[in-house]
Amino acid sequence: MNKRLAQLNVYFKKNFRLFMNQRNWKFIVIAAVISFLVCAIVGKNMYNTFEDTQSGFFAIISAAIWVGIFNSIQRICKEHNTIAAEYRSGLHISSYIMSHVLFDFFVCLCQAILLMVICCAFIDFPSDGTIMAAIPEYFITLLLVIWGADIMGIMISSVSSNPNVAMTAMPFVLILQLVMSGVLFKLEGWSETIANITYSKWGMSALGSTADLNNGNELPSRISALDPMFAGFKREMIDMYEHEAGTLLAAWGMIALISVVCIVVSILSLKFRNRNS
Amino acid sequence: MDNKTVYYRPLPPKPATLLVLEPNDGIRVVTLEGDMKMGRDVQGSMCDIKLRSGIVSRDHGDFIFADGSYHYRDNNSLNGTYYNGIKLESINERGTRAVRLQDGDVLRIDRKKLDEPHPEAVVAIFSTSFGKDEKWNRCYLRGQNMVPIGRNTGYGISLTDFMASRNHATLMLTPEGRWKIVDNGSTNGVAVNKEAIVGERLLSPFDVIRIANTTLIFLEDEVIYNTVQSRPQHFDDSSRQVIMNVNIQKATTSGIFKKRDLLRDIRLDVENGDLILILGGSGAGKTTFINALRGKISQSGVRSTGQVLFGGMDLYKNFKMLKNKVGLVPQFPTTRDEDTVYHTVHDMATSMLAGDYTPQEIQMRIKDVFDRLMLNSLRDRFIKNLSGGQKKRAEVALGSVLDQEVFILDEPDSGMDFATRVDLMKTLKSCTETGEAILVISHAPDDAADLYTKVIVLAKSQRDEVGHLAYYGDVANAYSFFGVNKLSEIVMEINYEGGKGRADEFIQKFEMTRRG
Repeated sequence: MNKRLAQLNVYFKKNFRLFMNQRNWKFIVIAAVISFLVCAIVGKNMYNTFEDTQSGFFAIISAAIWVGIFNSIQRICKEHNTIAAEYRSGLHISSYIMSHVLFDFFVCLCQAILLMVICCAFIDFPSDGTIMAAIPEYFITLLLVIWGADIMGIMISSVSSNPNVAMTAMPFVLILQLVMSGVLFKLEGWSETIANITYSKWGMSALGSTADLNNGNELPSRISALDPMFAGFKREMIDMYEHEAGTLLAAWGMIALISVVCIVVSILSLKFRNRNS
Repeated sequence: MDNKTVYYRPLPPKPATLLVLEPNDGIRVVTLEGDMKMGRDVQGSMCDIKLRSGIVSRDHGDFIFADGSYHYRDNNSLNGTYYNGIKLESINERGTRAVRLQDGDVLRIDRKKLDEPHPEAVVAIFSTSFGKDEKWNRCYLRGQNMVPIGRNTGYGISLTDFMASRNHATLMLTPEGRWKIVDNGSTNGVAVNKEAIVGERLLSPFDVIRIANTTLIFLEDEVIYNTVQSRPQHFDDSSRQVIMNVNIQKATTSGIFKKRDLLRDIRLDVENGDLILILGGSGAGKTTFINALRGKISQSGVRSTGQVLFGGMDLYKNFKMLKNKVGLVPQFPTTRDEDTVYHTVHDMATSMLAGDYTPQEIQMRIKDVFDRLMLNSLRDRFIKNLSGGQKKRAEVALGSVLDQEVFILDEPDSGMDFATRVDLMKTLKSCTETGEAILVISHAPDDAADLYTKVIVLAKSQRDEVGHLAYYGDVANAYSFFGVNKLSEIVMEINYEGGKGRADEFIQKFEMTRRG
């Protein structure tokens, strides 16, 4: 067997053992609790108006990003000394990082399933999606966002010298993700460019595309729903919510691309850190 | 104390081995014990090493033990001596300059054209790593055009060395009629005449090939190679060999505006089974020293020059091949707390040896290491549940499974009470009984002073503000050398800050003692 693959296999199994021994399954429980809280609050207003639905998706995406980052943000930085010793003995950093990425896929899968099940319990989702039924589309989006955020956590952890630094960086990264989602503020110019490298923007785009947020008939603006005087009010269409396969696939593709960049940065930063080993 | 003469006895000559190859003769293993003469076997010869070849002079050359190592000098013989392929030139009527011999050096008595050896050419390979009972095998090349070399292949050159890959290398006959060695992408590489090769290399007569711990000597129509024995459960003191030669010329901070030496002229040998204490005053360069030993020639703005040799091969030049020979066990464990001892060692072995070793071979290796380091009772314990000493033993096992030979422990006893410190040192001593060498930095050296085989004392000179070797030798001599009753008092003697500030005195005295 190729040595990199063999190391990937060894570290994948090690990650599972440590996951159990360190009781990291509690991250799945925490994800369930957060999902429950978010869905319980936003669930009853979803699919009533555009603003309520968008806010609901924003809360769900925020929860997904938080859950993902929290899975891994302290994982690598607390092992820097161990990695240095193992790197000197012949560890391939790419195998090490990929073992975390692949193992975390299964953790994120569990969290995405929980989040989706809890969402379905509180939210009455429409049946039609963009390219398939809506529920699988929502699930894929949430899985990609949680997993992507997890990979971003791996990257932050790789470049951080210790867990304190990583935990200090975490709120800034989260705030950046929330601000750049395009929900709280209108993004123009440089902020729009930066938003292109956030999971929140593309996560919102995918959910909005599946939910057809631009459909004014199904999802009127809040003002027209509240006041009959504004019944004919036409709100502005938002490109990233276009109910088209291209929009959805582009959003998924961008989430995947950002994740690949995070993986590459993680590998390079650990190689650089251990260049003298 | 100041007016007393202090006698210091340098370390006695260590036995070394000379593997002598003469035409029409078997392989002779000669043990060097101090000064010895080499010459032709004629009636009345006074030589210690007698050679039958007609091209050897009666008093051909001398082996001299000085300054802790063996040297060779050709006594202006008729045909001269080639040292690693270079003829030794005469400098006076007594002979040539004496060359310091290192593991794997080749002395050759031959005519001028080395590619066409004289029928009576003699080759002697100096070694500090061969045992006197080493078993040597022959593989005849005549009539073959390809000979595979690998671990337990059962055909070609089948090595018993665990660190050799299954399909390690191949000897191939070129269309021009010359043999070449090809590295088949092995884990631990191939070295020819102490230099790691990349891909392939043409061979010349008497080239010395190193594959992991096996030495192969190419003799045009045959290859001879040793059988590597597995490490014994208990190491016999008489079979101790030098495994690491250290000759750090200097370690320098490489700032843009100012360069400053941190260490200078550190020369010492480490033998298997050694438990060596490293003592040093503040700023003496202990950290720089251990980094240099590990092959980190360039770290944190410090650059080391010199040599650290394993089996005669330079760690700095062949870092990739030799980096696993020496390892650091830092003050705080680098293992994962929530993993068991077995899984920690197993994962290290599997991930680093995978691809070439079967699971059964890896299990055998782990069993061997666990047996040697008495870890079987701790096998399923979490690392976090081990005592300080047990954790260090687990870390030694981690290196040992990858054939690490030298371990450097940085203050393993800090924060421990007296009883635990003593227990830890006893544990480390037991690790050395299976052949590993351990160097320990400790600030409580007297707890287990009788367990150390040697002491390294580094001291910062006030004259040049550089760390030097102020002593290297056994513990008993250290007391008389420094005129102290405790090892901890040595630091007081040499320290300028809070001590007596006698570093320069001892640096000079040790240097003079070495020179004899």
